[in-house]
Amino acid sequence: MNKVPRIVVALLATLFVTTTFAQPDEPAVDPATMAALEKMGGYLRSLKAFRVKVVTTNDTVLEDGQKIQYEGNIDLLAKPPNGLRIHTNNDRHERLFLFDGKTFTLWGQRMDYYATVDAPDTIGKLADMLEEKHGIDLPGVDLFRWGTPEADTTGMISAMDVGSAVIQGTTCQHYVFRQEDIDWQIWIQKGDYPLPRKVVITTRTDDALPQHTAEYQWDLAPSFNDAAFTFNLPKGVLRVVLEDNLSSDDASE
Amino acid sequence: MKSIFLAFLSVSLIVFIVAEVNARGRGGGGHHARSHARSNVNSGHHGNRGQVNRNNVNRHGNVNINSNRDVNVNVNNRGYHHGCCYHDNYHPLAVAAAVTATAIVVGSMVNSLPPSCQTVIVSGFAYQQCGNTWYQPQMSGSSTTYIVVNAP
Repeated sequence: MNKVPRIVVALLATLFVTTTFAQPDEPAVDPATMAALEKMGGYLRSLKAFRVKVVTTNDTVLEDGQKIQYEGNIDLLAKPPNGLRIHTNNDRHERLFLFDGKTFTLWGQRMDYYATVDAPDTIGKLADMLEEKHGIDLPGVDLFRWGTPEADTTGMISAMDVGSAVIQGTTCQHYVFRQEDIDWQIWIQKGDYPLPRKVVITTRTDDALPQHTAEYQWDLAPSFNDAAFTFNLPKGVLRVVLEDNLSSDDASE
Repeated sequence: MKSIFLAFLSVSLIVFIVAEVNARGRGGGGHHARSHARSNVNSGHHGNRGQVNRNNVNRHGNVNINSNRDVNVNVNNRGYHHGCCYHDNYHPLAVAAAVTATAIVVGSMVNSLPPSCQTVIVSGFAYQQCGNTWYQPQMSGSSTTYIVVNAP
């Protein structure tokens, strides 16, 4: 057996030590930022009932790469785990989403159509069902996924705290994140109510980098009763079906 | 020297003219949406479904049935009414050309109805009967679309 020259051993050892124990100045995914996100999620999950009004903008990208921005409004009332009432109003449509733990109803208010389907017993499961079975994104769905295993932080490329900022007159801490398909930013209210006050999501899967923005106004003591989550069929509104992803045949239910 | 300069000038001019013509020629025609901004950070427990583009409109293969039509972008026309029918998604980009008289295959999906349709309720569900063609309205993530069905 050849005797390995000592100098080679020494060099290898040095390499091993420097690579194993090398400390980068800052980790790409800042633990304090991830902790702040988890704290916000935990707080959201602790709320017994809330009403949040959201002003959104959303970019559509044309074939030639131009972006067109649309504004929208969401008025969301939630009594987790099984009460949800969401009114959305934007250039494309005006809709009411109702869920009471048993049934989900979607009323297209400019068309006077509604659809109603059996629903699972929690908001989280409803959101999954709507996404998977009907291709419908529940407005504000992130508010129900943060603080649960459904909040996907695997594949986080970077996360950092970029400092304080004032949103709608309230001091927030501003964090930015990079994931594979999106960059996103969140402004979390400082103090006893770590709520999201603003979110910006940049979609990286299109070169035009379209954005979605949302600013939130919170009411943590909304007044309502359970009738808020039930659909009272208005006169002249007709029943139709929801688009069905899973069936290959004409969906008749 | 002067002749080289003039030659260069004329070549540049020709190149410029050709480029201009090409640019203009490319400009006209329809404006189609190729994607939308994703509106959720968290995509649920099936986050890695392989769905990179979270664009509701293009999520399913059969939504693009009318994608070859020229869409007339009239940005000021934000009215609720287009011809006969109200649209859940009356956005200018989604205004559909009139469905022509060519045979409509059962299972096709359209964004808007032809003229002269009647609402018919069958087993509690609304259908649109337009001449001999029956459409079933369905609400999707971004709009209401209509599927051609056999008479219910």
